[in-house]
Amino acid sequence: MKLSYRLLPAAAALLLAAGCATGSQPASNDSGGSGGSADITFSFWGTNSEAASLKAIAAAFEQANPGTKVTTNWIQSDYEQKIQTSIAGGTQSTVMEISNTSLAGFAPSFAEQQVDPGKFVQPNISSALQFQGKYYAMPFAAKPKVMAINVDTFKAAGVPLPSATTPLTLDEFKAIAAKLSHGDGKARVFGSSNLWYRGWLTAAGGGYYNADASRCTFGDETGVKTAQYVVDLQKDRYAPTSLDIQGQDQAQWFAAGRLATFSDFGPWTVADFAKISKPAWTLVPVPGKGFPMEVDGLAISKKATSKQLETAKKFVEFAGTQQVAQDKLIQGNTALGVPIIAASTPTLEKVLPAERNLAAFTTALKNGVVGVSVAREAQISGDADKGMTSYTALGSGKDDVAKVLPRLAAKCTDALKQQ
Amino acid sequence: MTALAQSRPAVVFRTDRPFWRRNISLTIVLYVVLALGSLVFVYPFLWMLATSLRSLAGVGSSGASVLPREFLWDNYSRAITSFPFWRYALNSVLTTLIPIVGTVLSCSLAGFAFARLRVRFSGVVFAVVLATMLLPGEVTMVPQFMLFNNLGMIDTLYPLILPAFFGSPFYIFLFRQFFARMPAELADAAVVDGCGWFKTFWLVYLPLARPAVVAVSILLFMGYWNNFLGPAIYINSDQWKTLPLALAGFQSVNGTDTPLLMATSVLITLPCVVLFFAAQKHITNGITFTGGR
Amino acid sequence: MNPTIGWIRNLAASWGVPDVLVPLVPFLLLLIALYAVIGLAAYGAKRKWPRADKTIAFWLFVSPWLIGFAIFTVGPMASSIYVSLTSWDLITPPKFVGLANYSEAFQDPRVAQALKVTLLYGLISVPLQTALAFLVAMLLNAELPGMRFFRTVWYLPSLVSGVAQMVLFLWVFNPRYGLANDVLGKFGITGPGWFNDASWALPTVILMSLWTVGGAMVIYLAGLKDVPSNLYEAAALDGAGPLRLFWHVTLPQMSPIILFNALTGIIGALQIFTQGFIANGGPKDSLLFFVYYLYDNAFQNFRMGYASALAWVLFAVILALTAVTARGSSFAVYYETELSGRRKRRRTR
Repeated sequence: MKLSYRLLPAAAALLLAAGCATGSQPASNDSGGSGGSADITFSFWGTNSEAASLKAIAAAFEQANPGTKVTTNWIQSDYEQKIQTSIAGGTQSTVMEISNTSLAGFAPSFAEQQVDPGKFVQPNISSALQFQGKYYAMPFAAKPKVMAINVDTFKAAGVPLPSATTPLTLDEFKAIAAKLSHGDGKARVFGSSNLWYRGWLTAAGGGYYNADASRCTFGDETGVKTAQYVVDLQKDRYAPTSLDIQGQDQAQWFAAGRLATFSDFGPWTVADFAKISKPAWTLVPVPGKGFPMEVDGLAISKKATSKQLETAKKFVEFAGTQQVAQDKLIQGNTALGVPIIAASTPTLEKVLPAERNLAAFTTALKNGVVGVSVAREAQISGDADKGMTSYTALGSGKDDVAKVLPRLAAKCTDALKQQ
Repeated sequence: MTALAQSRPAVVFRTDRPFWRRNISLTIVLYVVLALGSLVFVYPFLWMLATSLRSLAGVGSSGASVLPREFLWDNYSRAITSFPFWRYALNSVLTTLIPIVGTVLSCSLAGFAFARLRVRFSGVVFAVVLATMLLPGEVTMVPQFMLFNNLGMIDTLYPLILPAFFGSPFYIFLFRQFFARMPAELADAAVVDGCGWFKTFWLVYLPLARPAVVAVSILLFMGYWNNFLGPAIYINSDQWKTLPLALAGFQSVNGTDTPLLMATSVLITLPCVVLFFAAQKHITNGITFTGGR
Repeated sequence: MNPTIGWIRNLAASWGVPDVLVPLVPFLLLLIALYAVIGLAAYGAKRKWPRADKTIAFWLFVSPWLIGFAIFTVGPMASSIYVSLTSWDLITPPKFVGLANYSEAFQDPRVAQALKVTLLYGLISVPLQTALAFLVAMLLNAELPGMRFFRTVWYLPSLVSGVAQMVLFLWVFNPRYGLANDVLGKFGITGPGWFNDASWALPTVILMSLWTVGGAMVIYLAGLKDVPSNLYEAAALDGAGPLRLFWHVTLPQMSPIILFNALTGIIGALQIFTQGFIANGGPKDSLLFFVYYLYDNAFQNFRMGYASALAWVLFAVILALTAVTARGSSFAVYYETELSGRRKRRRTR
């Protein structure tokens, strides 16, 4: 029929037009919120309790500034990927939580900020959020790590309690873990909790990256030695492997007396441990140089309108430097992070009775080692970690760490160079 | 009319005598095999239910046991309150029900056209439709993302809903097969009565296609409810998450709480199970149409 | 976002369209404009060729699919070809690199691994699933009481799919506390690492896929009941025993269904994603399914160009496989219906 002949070319034209229309134009951005309004949106990650803190801070800001609305957006997983996708699509929030380790990758999309280092407890905190000499996020929480110890187990084994202020050395820790481990099978008591390789690498004085982020260093001598340290502790069954704890809750193990020490103890872990009255426990510093301290900041999108920018600046200032907000980091008996202003330090320490020694957090905050910031950090370190857990005994593999780690480090360095 | 299997079901081997009554031993073997197989099959799900009712401590020590020693219904109430469960459920419902309507409408329309409206080029177009069935969706995944990016629909439910209104080759094929089996006289009668083609479709054929529509809807429900890749790509913020996406992100939110995880999985699976039991008959009837014959 | 689209959205927002519906406005406007044009064309055609009712109706009915085909398939495919020739991270403008992505894909060991994992999975799990589903269907075809109960039980597990299924079976196959190793332990066997062991991970996923044969089983069951009983009677009269009945009557009659299901099964298996995502690629990339690797490159590494090239590689592989299967099927399948519309012989029952 003639009609079909007429319509076919039209259809072809339609297809071509559609093809051009879907074309690969870079996203032209406009940040959330309809034009002219001063309301802002705020993205963050975290567990239930962490989200509760951030929502409380947002609510406190709204109260202090009536008429302004802060819409919260809790991204529960793949935070960095989601942020990047939203930036590409122009749907990013006005204010975004960012960790110091990921800052480098996102700094080009953030607005520069004015940060006064003097307001915070130690200079490490504000410098963690600098990129190429400028500030791109306002710090508002730090996450130092400490170690919980089961006082009853130590006393029963006749081992002297570690100092509340001076860290043990790694060798001392290994000896203690050996003394405290006993038992068999499903009832075994471990001297140490599952060992987080990256943490212990920092404790040993090493790190994943070198100071100017040009090379991955976990394949160096310190890296391999620390990996061997972890593997040995697991082999001798002084610490559970990742398979042992898969699907298990280590806090519950600690409460059941199966762990003599628990080393990856962050401010949010307080909630899980607060309900543990038996066995008696207290906090001490992490051995060696301590675990890397994460500093979280609030960044402002570069594409915010001027009204939103104003509100956003007030909000980040409020969250990072005002006691009202900093106190809200602590909700009930859990804390998203340690407050970074001196005025709020007692708030955290008072959450639990004095013998729990929450002051260990304050010490850790003052001495905390801050990691180097690298673009696409989550991806690069994720790939490295996956390699480690696949191939070596750090995870479920069997290969020799001395051979695997340098190989992975080389791959990691290549990925760094691709920035 | 439609080919429902209402005749005597074909006995597997012989039809002269009741085979099973003759071979008691074979019958017993059959039952045993089926029972054992069913046990193996169903066991993980009973275990899922049992685990969802245990406490954290009980999970490590109970092993393979399916007999619940604890009944922590609290796990279920925590599953609902530990994240915005109802919000996610609403998103799942929206991205399931609306696309079902869209798919059924567009596919039945096109299927009818291919079955009843034989005009020049209709064969060619149908061949293209079939060829598209072989196309993996992932070839268009990235550029579709860019398309929706340009349309400003990233981080909304629209990329998950809109494409459904434009037909899906598999279901067009199904409907086409179904409509082809209906007598042509129906169309002729309608045309004689002065109905346009659309009215013929809407008032005559579609109501008769109810079994197919129901079967297709049920299949679609299972597919859309559990869809994961789409939401994983397009949804960034919390308010638009669907249930499978929330389940995937569970451990970043709740830590390692296995009973809670199992309880959440049970809750997410529940609608499909309920739907199955309510619509069993329709599924088995409708399967005749998906047989490809 | 395209600037024109952004302008339309702002316009809509300022007119008071609720925020939730604002993103829909540009798209709706586009559709309305399209259908206005189509409607005019149809009207004009009707005026000029009054007897072309059928043709006009055909194109109108097919128009949603056609428009969708253009916008969501052809258009993206065309631009995907272009993107695969660039290097693009979504934020900075794309950079033309020619065939570099494709040559990288051919040299990338992970691509080879992904193809290996995906093809192994597709070519092993689908025949296994088909065989199991068919076997069970044959058993359930017996005319005995209680078959309906068994049918329900066998179908139920296939309702747990996607993320929930993976989450459950990760726990079932947990090497220390899971169901599988606990049961094996009772027989004195130390179970393997299942998902945590690089050589066991893929077999575990294949094993897991067998739990969902319920869907295919129900289809085969319906098909079995559809086999005309007079064929069996006739063959039995000629002296055929049970095995020959199966080989010469049941199988040929069921072959179109089996082929159809096997084909869609393989295509589906080659696109498996969720399992790879939840397992994060598995130990030593043993669960690096191709679509997951694609997703990883596109949305986690933000290498859009490379991901697009990978998509075309997958397309070529599927095309090749389908061609092979189609050629092979003509030897094995007995068809009664055809697509060109010849009326099916009416069967008396």
